[in-house]
Amino acid sequence: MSDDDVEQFETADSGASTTYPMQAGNVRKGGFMVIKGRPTKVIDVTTSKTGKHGHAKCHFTATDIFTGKKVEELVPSSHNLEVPLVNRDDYTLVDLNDEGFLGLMDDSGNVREDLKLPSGHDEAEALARQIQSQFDEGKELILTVLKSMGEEQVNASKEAPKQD
Amino acid sequence: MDLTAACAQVEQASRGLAHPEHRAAAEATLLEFRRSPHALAACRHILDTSAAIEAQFQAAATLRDAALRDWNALPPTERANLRQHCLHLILQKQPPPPPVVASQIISTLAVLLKRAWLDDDADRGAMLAEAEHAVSAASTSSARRVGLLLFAAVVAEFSPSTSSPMQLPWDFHERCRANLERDFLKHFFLHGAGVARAAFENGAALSGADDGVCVGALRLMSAALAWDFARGGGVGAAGGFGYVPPPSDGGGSRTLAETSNAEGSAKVTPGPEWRDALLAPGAVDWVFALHASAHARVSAGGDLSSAALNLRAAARAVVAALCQLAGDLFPNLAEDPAGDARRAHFARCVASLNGTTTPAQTTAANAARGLGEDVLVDVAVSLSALASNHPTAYFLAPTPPPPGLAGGGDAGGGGGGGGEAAAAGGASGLSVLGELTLAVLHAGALTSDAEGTASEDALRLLMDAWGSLLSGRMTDPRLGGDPNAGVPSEVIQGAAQVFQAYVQAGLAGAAAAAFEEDDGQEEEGKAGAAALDERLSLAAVVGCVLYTDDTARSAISPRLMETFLWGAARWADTYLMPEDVGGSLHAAVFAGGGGGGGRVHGGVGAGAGLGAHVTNQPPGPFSEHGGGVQVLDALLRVARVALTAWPGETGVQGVAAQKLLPALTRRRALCRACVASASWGAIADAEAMALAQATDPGGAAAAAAAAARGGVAVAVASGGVAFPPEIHRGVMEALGRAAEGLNDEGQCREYIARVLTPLGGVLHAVASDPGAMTHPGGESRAVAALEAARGAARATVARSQAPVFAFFASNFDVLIATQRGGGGSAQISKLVLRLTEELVANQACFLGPTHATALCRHVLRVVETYAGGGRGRVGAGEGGRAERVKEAYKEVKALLRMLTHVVNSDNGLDHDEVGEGRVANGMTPGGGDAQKVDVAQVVFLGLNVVIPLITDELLTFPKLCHQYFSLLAHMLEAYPGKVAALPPDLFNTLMGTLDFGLKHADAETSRESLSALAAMASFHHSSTIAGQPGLGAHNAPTPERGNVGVLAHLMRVVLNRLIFEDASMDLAESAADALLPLMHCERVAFEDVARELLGRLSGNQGAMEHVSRALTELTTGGGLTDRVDRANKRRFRRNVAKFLTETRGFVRHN
Repeated sequence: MSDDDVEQFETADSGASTTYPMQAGNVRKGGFMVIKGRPTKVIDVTTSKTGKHGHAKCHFTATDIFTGKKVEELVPSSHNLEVPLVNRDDYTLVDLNDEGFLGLMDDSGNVREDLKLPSGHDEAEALARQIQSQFDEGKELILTVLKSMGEEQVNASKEAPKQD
Repeated sequence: MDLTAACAQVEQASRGLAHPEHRAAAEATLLEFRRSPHALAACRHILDTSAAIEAQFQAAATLRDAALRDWNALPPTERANLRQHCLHLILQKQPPPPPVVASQIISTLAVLLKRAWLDDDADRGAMLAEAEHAVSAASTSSARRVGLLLFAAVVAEFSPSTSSPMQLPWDFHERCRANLERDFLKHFFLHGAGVARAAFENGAALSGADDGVCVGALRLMSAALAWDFARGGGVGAAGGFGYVPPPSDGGGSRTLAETSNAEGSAKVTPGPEWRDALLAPGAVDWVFALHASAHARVSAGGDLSSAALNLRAAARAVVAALCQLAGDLFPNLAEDPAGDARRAHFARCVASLNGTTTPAQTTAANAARGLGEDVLVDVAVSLSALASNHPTAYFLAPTPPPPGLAGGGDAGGGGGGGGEAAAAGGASGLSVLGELTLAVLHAGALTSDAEGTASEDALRLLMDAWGSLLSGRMTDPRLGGDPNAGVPSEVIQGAAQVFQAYVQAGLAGAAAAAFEEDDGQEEEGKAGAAALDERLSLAAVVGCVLYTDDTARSAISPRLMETFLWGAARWADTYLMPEDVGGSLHAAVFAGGGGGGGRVHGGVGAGAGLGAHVTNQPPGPFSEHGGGVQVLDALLRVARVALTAWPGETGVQGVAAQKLLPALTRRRALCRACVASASWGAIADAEAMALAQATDPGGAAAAAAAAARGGVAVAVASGGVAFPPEIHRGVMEALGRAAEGLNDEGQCREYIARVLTPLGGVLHAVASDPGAMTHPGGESRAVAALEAARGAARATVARSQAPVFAFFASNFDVLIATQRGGGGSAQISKLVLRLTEELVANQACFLGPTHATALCRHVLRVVETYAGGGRGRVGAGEGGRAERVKEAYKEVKALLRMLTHVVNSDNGLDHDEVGEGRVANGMTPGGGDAQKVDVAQVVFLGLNVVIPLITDELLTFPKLCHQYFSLLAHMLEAYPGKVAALPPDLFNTLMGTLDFGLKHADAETSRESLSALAAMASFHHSSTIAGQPGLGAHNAPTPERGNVGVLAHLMRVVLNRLIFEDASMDLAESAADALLPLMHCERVAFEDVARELLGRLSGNQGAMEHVSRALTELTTGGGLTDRVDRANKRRFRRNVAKFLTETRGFVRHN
């Protein structure tokens, strides 16, 4: 039984580690870190020193890269924390069906249809509306998909360069 | 009012004070009573008759106020009467007044004496004699005690710092003080001494049979010695009105000595006329004997009665005052070449202190438990005073037992304590001080529990004493020391022991306090570090050096280290190998005055002393030959430990890399010592290791690979040191800067190679694996390498410039590859740009044409790569848009700054060789390696790339806006020919931005744009006059601009803004400079604008006339001619200002 659990866990993704340990003191503003199991982008770091001889602590303010939710974390600067591996991939938008599923084609021509329009917070909704309207206008769009810790979401769109 | 009634009223009010509900009324009654005109008589009545203590007390206080108030109205007989009445009250009244009332009456009497002191017919001696007579008439021991108390009160009343207000001018107090000091003070002291000595020698004092007379006498002595001698420095020296005359023994060194001791120990400085009373053989021996006996009785005899304690405290106060003696009291060198009197006094003091503190552990432990804290503090004060007032050498001599005690002979020490004191004799001052310091430390004076207690105070004083001993008092010839001798080795050994104990105790205390969360301490730590002075820093240095081994991490907390580093950096910046230790007079004064503390003693002429210093100058403290090298080495070891011992504590690492190391490479002498030091090599190795850590196969790259394979990546935890990126920058910069210290070119090259080679390796590794940069580990490796490279670029100094440039030149390709690979990372992109910017900024001024060309080409490639990577464009609807805009802003700003620096690097060498035609063709970079790259070409190409990136959003950052337009103005001024030769699209883009700038609301931006326009118009004007094309085809009319040329269009923009939009005259001057050439070369267009302006006013004849007159005046007034030169510019500025004032009002109405 327990073996099965482990097995399931291992096969949830390709088995690759999705995070990377880094010392808290080395995580900068603009960098990524995992807070409460979520990949986030650090928008502010302050270092505080508690007590006369205590160790420095870093106070992180960060936003969830998928939901935009603001989170905070306090970590001693000498401790390690997890930094998520964040990938950006560009796809050409080839299809957009009524249920909001996107047809995305990568550079080598493979098409995937497992992603929906971004949603969940204001900025994502705005992006979704923009994609929808531009697609309806017949523009060719390149979408950037952000991938981290087994989660994927369309993060940006731009018009494909005109082919001369 | 009836006296009895008044008495009753006061009695009732005094009782009422004790009850809250009656308090207000009682206070009002008493105040009313104080103000009443007959208070004096009423008070005397109350004191005579009332039985209520409170009433008597109030009456005594009121008596003083009333007497002072009515003084001028009182006849002399009445004044004397008042005094006698008081005397009678305290001496003869039966029953005697209770102590609280008696002391109040005594202080009242002291005030009365002082008030009468300067009366014209006052016989001051008689007044005191009257009191003395009354005392002896009473002939009881309590009366004698009262008499002594009275004299002590008089002394206190006359001393300015303890006098009571009398509503009299300062002058009065000052004259009283001077008079008492001159005529009576010593007599008071001798009187007290006589009484106390008699009481001691007949045994009454120790047996307690004297009814406190001895204590009173000792208190009188203390009061006399606590007199504020320092102000006058001697009898009658101080004038009235608080004027303190300059020191009589002259010389600036005295002032220095005093300032150096400003926060130092207390001093008692009676003048030379006190010698017989204080220094003569046998004069005060009995005091020490008395104290020893009293002390023995309490500590050994266990007599804890208040009488015994009082006696001991009073005697100890006198002993402490004696230990603090300093100044002209001691014979100077001329009078006493061997310093016998001083030495003997010192020996007496030390022997007494030794007796008091033996055994030291008990003293310290008792104080820590809260018993006899005052003993410890008094002893510490005394030791600190002895250390700062007497030569260090005295501390080494074993002190012979005081003559009065050894044989029990001439001074007649009859007390029982002589034996013990004699047995303890023989210890040197140093051992007394050392034992006591260690004992205090062992007793926990450094723990957080001891904060604010007597133990802490005592420790501070004892540390001061050590500081005084170490600061080379021996070298002061005026104190009898040998100027060529260093600090004696015994003192150094002792100090080392003490500091070791200090550090151990401090660390133990720190460890205990480490887990207290106490946020309030943070600021205090900074302030404390700021207050670290020279010697305390030195103490800490010694401490840290003892601990710079691998145990450091467990022993010292990072916070402690951070504070220490901060203080050390400040200290090193000022004191370590300072530049002004040459043979200058100033340095000599500083060395002489700073070294010799204490009061300067006359005799040796200050001038002669200085002369000796100049010719035979010992190396200054912490100079290159005066121990500075050793201290530097120690600090470097500390820095290395700070960098490596606490991975992740960025605060400590930051202070070490960004405060301490820069301070240690600030001066050439420091650099010289750095590069010669092995510790410096260790720092370089640490940096190399930290860089290598990132490249280590077990490090990031492997982790990335491991991550890809599904393993668990643990890079940072793999044991080595890892620096945060900015630490790399700081360390590398310091390393590079130290090359300043190498004179030989070959050595310098070798050194730079050693420092930079590891960096080169890492850069190669980064560039060869671009894929890794998308991984956080790889990214941080690249960031670390780039930051280190930035440090190296910033550290460019003349001496090492060539090898540093060679390093970067050989790595240009690598950097470009890094930039390309890291295109997805904001951090890497930004850092590449900053690195290039700093490289140009620091290297440009050194470079010859060939190297400059190489650098320019590199810049060009960086710009291209940047543009090619698609950075800087903020995509639509992207997550965290504000953040992205900010990133873009930073990058674009770095680009602009880089271009600005490139402009500055153009030193004009290669101007003439560049044909104008090539600019248009040679736009493709690297279009031929033999071809020289022109600065202007680089900049314009760069601008071509940057301008599309400058969006409206970015222009809301004012810095970026200014940066761009000042660059544009500079380019148009310096290279107008190149601008004219630009391809049309680029030229039009530039003009578009210029148009934008001219309309910009920010005055600074508009001014820059106007000067750009002025430069361009002047160029066009002058070249058309010379028959050249000027802007040529660029100025052809285009439909987009309403069929006018670009200059005409911009002129219209400027005029429009000036006349119709701006309300102020801020821009008038710059606009005038631009308009003058424009008007000349675009006369037709100008006339069109003028006609338009008049056309708007049609129908308003008066206004039209007015404006057309103003226009004529503008173009011809003030002697304006058709040339663009300085004189004409000045005239035209005036014209424009006038024109605007006159026309704005008319045209804006319509």
